[in-house]
Amino acid sequence: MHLTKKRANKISSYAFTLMEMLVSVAIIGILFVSFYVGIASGFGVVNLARENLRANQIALEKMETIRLYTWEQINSNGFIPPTFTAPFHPPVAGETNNTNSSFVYYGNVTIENAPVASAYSNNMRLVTVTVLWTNSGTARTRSMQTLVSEHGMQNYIY
Amino acid sequence: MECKITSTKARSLRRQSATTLVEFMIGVSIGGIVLAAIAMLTVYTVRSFGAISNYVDLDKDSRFALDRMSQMIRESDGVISCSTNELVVSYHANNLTYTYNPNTRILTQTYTNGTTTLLEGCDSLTFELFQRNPVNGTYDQYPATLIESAGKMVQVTWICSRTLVGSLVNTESVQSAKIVIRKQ
Repeated sequence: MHLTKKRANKISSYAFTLMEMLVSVAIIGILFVSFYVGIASGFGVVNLARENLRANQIALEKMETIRLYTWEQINSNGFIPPTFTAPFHPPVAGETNNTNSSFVYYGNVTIENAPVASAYSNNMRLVTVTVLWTNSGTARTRSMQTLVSEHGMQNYIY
Repeated sequence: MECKITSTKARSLRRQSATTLVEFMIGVSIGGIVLAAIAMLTVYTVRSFGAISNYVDLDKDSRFALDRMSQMIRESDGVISCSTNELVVSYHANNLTYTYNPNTRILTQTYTNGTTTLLEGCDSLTFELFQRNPVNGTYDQYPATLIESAGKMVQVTWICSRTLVGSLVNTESVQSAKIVIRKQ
């Protein structure tokens, strides 16, 4: 009788209980999921940085072209379109395997009176370019502003 | 009596220490599954980190090249010649040349101080030249194909890529910019 008890104690000390197994499986599961979520989060951050970079490029392109308009064209209703669209992946000459998912940025350009409390404020305009897109269900927006003046614009076109 | 007890203990100990074939096969199966899962996770992690690193590297290089080109083209005196793969502008009375070689996939900048590599691993790059007059109702300008010296705006678009683990992972970066020459 004494020997039987001793043997039973020995056996229980070598085996894992169901609870121990469940805890270890849960810990391993949490580790795997954490790895996956961490990597997915890294991809998300990089992706957002790339989309931000492209949004800035699009806004900057519009800002650059503002310099090519005359003062009359800036003030002409409709000469500069108030809205535009631009792809994330613009068409590139010679590109044969464009398999990237290319979503579209939506943008708008507003031209307002300059918020300048001065006598020459009527000779200035505030131009705002806003770019909007959606990233993982979240609406994102970037915007740029510049002031243009009547005598700072180009005054000839040939 | 003593002998019988000793004999029983020895037999039971032997049964504890051994494994049956079924136990062994189950152990090998579980071990294999765990090892396979760890191997897949390791490969996935390495590839993912490589891809993220490639994207960051591409964006860094492209941003640097674009900043540098924008700064110098804006400051140039005017366009001397422009083709799909080459742009020559006058920069402080000297020729500043940007050349894209599709064979080596490299974009270089050549000035009086020598030749510098701006981009590597460039699959495609295009220069386009436009005049100053905008098209009504669009954000476009008329192309300056006949008189290159009338060029006021340069558009440059490129696509760069890196491969990882052979061609299993291909990371791309597309950049596009319109640069208006200020002095022209």
